[in-house]
Amino acid sequence: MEDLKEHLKAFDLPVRARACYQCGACAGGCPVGRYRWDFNPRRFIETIVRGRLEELVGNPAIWLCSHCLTCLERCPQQIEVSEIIMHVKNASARRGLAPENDVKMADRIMTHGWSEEPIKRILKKRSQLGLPEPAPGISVDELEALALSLSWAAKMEIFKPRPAEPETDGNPAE
Amino acid sequence: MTTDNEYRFFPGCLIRARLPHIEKSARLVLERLGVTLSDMEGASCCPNPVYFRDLDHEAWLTLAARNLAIAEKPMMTLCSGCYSTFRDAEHALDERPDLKQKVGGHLERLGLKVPSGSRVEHFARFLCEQVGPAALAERVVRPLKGLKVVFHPGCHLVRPSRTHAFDDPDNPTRLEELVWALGAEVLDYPRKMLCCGFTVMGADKDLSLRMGFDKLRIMKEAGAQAVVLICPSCMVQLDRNQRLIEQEFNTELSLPVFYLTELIGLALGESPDDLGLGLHLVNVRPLVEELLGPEADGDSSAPDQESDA
Repeated sequence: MEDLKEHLKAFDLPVRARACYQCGACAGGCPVGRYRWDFNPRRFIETIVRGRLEELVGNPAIWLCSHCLTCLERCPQQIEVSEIIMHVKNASARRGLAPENDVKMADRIMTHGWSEEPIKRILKKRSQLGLPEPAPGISVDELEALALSLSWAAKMEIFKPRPAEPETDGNPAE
Repeated sequence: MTTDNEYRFFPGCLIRARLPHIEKSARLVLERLGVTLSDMEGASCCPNPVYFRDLDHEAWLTLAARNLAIAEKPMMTLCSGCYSTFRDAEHALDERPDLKQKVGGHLERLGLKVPSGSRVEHFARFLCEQVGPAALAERVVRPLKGLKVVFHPGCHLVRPSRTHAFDDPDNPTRLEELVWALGAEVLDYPRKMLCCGFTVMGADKDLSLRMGFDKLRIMKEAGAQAVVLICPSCMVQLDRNQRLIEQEFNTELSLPVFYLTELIGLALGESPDDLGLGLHLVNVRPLVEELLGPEADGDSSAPDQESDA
């Protein structure tokens, strides 16, 4: 539970969620909630306010948030719903529950500096268009120093990619 | 504009790795408008404000702060995601002394200090606020008369409105005025602020394609001949994944998608070849020919063949 305690201490999620009076404007405007009934930002906030953060951390649906910020714009109390969900995802990642793609991409950035490099075909197109080579990026030495400082290797042990969720047709078991 | 009008060029990872035509059009247009773009050496991914921040907020903030610290001059980004990361990071470092101290400790190992103040500009905000529709209209040599488009603002240039303070977060129209200034008509359409669905791709591919399909379908039904947008993630989703969406939903959309800088480039007299318009996955050629007439001929390249899903 260290992960949760640490997050509660640093980001005070229940206090930030407490102003919610469950009007549902966030859920009404949510583009993901239109398609997936199990993604309901109002219920996520309710879960936190009721002290059941633990339950939310283990709910795979939180990873569907597209971070479009419609909820924040619509919220009469200006609760940072997406940001709260993001911190819950951080706690969830510390249980090894993050989607495989996210983990792979983040690790590529921490080890190479970029999520992807231009392939040969793109480099050729760049030169045909008269574009310069992409500017050289962050050095390996700097990346290693940062990874060490951030304890990245230990974090990756915990983040270890999990396989994608099986097909659920939007009706996962609660 | 800054006094010397020079910006560190920060195209963002998707444009750097997959969308060279967007970089080309942006360089052509911004340089024509008097901006000097200088290379930013030693940069990394911004990093991504969704999947990377979702995983580890501290590492996200540290990499973002490092990019801000090495920029020295204001950065010009072509990507709403990078813009969001840098604005949010600046905000977090301002508001939270504890986070600033933590990040400061990491940066110290690289001999860097946590930066302060605002160091990032989004190209579209720049075009709106530092150039404006009237000055842009004066430079148009090829008015895009008869072209009916819809504007897809995307999420992260206008939101969160309390820190970005750029336009109405539910119905932004300032960028549409730039498109009107080019001679094109911008159509109103329902659910303009609906997310394109790109960021959901990693967690639920079917859902992501469904969101992209609905967005494109609504635009098409509104009578649009093309989409105009300002974010590379939206570009990948609506252009490069459009064929995948068509297959998934067994339908034909064939709705060309332009980056704002491409449309401005055409109106300012750049040729479709120089703009690399052949790199679009949805063929823009018939529409461009209709707009420009026979002078658009000469580019024999077929549209690109690979989707990015």
